[in-house]
Amino acid sequence: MCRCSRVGSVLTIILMAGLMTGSAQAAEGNAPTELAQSSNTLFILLGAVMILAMHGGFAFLEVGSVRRKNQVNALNKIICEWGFSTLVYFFIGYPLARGISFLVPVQDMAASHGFEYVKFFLLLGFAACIPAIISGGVAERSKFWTNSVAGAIFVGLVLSVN
Amino acid sequence: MLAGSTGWLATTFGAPFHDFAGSVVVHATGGWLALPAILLLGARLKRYDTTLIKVSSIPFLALGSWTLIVGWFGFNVMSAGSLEAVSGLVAINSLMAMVGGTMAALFISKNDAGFVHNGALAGLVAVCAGSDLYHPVSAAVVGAIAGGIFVTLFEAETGKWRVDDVLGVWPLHGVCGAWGGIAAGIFGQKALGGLGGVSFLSQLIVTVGVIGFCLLASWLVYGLMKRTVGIRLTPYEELRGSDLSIHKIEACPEESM
Repeated sequence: MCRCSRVGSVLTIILMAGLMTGSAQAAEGNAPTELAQSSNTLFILLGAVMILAMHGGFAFLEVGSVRRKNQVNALNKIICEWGFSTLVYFFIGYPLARGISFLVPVQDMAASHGFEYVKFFLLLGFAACIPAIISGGVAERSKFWTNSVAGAIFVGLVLSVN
Repeated sequence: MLAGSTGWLATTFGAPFHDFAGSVVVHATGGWLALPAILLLGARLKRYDTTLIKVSSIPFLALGSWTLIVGWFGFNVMSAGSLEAVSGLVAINSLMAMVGGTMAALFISKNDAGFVHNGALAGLVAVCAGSDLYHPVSAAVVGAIAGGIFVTLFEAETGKWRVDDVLGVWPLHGVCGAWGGIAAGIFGQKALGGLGGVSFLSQLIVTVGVIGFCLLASWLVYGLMKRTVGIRLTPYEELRGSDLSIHKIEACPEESM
């Protein structure tokens, strides 16, 4: 009991020291905006990763809903379409939709804690839902490549027009 | 194109088109792009013969549904775009709509596992557009209506109309997404306990516009491919299963030895 409280008080001191140095740094310069920018990047990244997980959901929803002889196809379609969507959205879709190209020196784009990159990741997650949704409707009988190309066209062009 | 028309809508109907997390821009778009593809492909072989085609695994179906449900809270909440704009209202509304959709599907389908797990998704699809506006009770109602729409339309589509939409993506994402876009213009109003700033007509016009545009785009892309390279497996490949025909392996290779 006594030991616990001693450990607790040591921890409190360390924490307070940390907070004080933190606030000292904040007072020095533009730390509040730095923190706001980095928090925003983390916030958007968390959203993007959760949407990435949803694509695993699309995959297993389809695996369960098709016959056994088409389960592997369902899995491969979803992960490959994620890949096609990323490439198409990086080079065509996102530049068309937001007027920003990624083919510039990295120091121009990595400002604000790389916010633009995670923003792309998040919006890609939304865009990639399109082929994942279509995949469930055309399951068990569609050709792999033609369906992939159609999905890539929708991600690259249709969504940015929308 | 449609994002650019918001200025005109705002001046004519008092509010621009509002789609917070993409009921229309993501889900309706996906669902209505899928419909022409499904129609052009035609039904799976033997789909409407005497024997019913069954699903392979309810546990995998449920796992997929749960993964989508959990991820959806990132999809909706992080649509705010920045930490300053984060809103707990979006989270509780997503939750209430998911539950509303599940409950509606439970009662209408008489406790069918596939419908209950997809009903939750129907509610989530519908709540996206107005999740930052609704009162949580309205969100539950919007979700419940979506759950009902999904069950009845999926049965009509795949049963009566013989449109072989394997996962029901047209009723789930297409119709429930469109319902979500329109619902934001109804339940988002201050008179119905919402935060306001939405116009029913703006919602309706853009939603219908997106539907028309998607049908046209998909008909063009899939129609052109059907005429040139073909979009469907051969009957032999299809009967053998796309796992063996395309990927040269089965889901559980050890068991089939």
